[in-house]
Amino acid sequence: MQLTDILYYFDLIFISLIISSLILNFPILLILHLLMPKAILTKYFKPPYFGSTEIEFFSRVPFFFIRTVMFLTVLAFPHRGKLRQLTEAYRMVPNWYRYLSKFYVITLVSTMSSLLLLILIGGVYYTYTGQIEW
Amino acid sequence: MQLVSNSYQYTLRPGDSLNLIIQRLYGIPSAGKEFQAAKQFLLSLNPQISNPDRITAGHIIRVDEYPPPQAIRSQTAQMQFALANPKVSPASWLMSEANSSKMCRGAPLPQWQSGPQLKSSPQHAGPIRALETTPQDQEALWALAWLEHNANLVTLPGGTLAGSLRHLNNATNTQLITDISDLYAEFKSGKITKGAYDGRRAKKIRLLQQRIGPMEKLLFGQNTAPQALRIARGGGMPATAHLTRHADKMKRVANLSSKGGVLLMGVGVAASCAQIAHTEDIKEKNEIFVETLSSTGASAGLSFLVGAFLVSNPVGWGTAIVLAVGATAAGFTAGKITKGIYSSRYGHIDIVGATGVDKVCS
Repeated sequence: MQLTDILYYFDLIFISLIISSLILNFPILLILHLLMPKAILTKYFKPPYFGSTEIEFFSRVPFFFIRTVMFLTVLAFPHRGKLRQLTEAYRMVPNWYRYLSKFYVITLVSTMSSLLLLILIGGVYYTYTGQIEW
Repeated sequence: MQLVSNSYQYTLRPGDSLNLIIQRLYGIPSAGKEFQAAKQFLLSLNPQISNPDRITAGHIIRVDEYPPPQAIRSQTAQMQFALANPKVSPASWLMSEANSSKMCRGAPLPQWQSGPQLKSSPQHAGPIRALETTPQDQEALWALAWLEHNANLVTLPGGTLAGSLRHLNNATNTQLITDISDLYAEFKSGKITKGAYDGRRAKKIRLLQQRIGPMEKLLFGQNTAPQALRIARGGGMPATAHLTRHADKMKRVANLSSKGGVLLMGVGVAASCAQIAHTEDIKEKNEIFVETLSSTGASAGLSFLVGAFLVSNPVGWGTAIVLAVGATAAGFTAGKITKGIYSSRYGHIDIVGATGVDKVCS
């Protein structure tokens, strides 16, 4: 495989990941944010599960989406909430929401980790070849 | 290359580089022999530039037609040159640059003498005049022009900074300062002893120091928290004046920064939109659009990835800020890469026109 082929596939995968991240992080997350049961927030979005500064920070636009992702993570993988004592939170949501959470978190982690890796490689390569301007 | 006497002056803006100027003026991509030749040509016009990678905003450089008129031997060659370089006139480029920021830069431009494409352009029928502007207006316009072209640089880290300031100055931290003030009132009214007051005050200050970490100097100037939150003695001011002042200051900063994040996001979108509206070239409009969209998507996604990490790994706010800044920096880089990929491979696709963004921003 020649360098031009590698670059072609790199560009293709990079653009695909960017489009995936746009779909994943705006329309899909917005839907999950709106569907998040209020009872979860009432019961768990307070001390001692979250620090007072975290509550301040994650209560406002646009940072409350990070809070939603945090809850989606513990709903999808309850053991991830061990340190914050959030292991029982998943009992408060219907199964379909848990499946959606699992789908979202797995896709988010795999997509964004791959994208981060490509950003690092692409950033160095394209800067070295002078194809991107800073 | 020979120095051409009838050249143009261009005042460098923040963010300008020789590579960028060559790309926009001559339409030559930043790689290959032609690009190097154009760069050499520009450097020959500007012998004062010692390091082409370090040019400073505000300096004036000379630009001219490339290749120079004497390099084009025959009428046929002139026609071929005109067809291959439809936007090669420095006058038209400088005009569009001036229009994009609503002012002319550099000295008044002489009428372009050679180049067949310019003669047929009614836009350059007469000499181009520089607008009369005061130095203050120029500075303000430069700032706006810079913001228009570098919105991501301001909005992404700015949003993070605003969020961080909000985090630092949250109500819980401000309450600690108010508590110290209340403790002093209790001590003066005889409700608690001096020892109890000193102990509780020290505990509150320690807690505040733990929460604000190394940003103590930022919040309290050159003083430490115990120095800044001292009881005022003499000077005709209330004993708790310093405490009240710092609590008020933190509340003000918190209020401003809580709006700042949203405001900066709005500024970012508006600046990108303005940039799209002020750009004539369709390809360039699309480049701005894909860069903004991808940097926003990537930085948001990476911030959410940080969120997924934070739920199982609670970290201090300092680490959280480092992670957030890293996410925004990676997002910024993603924007640049996407722009590069779009320019080199998909430049023929008009996304802005197809999605109607052009109409919304005009």
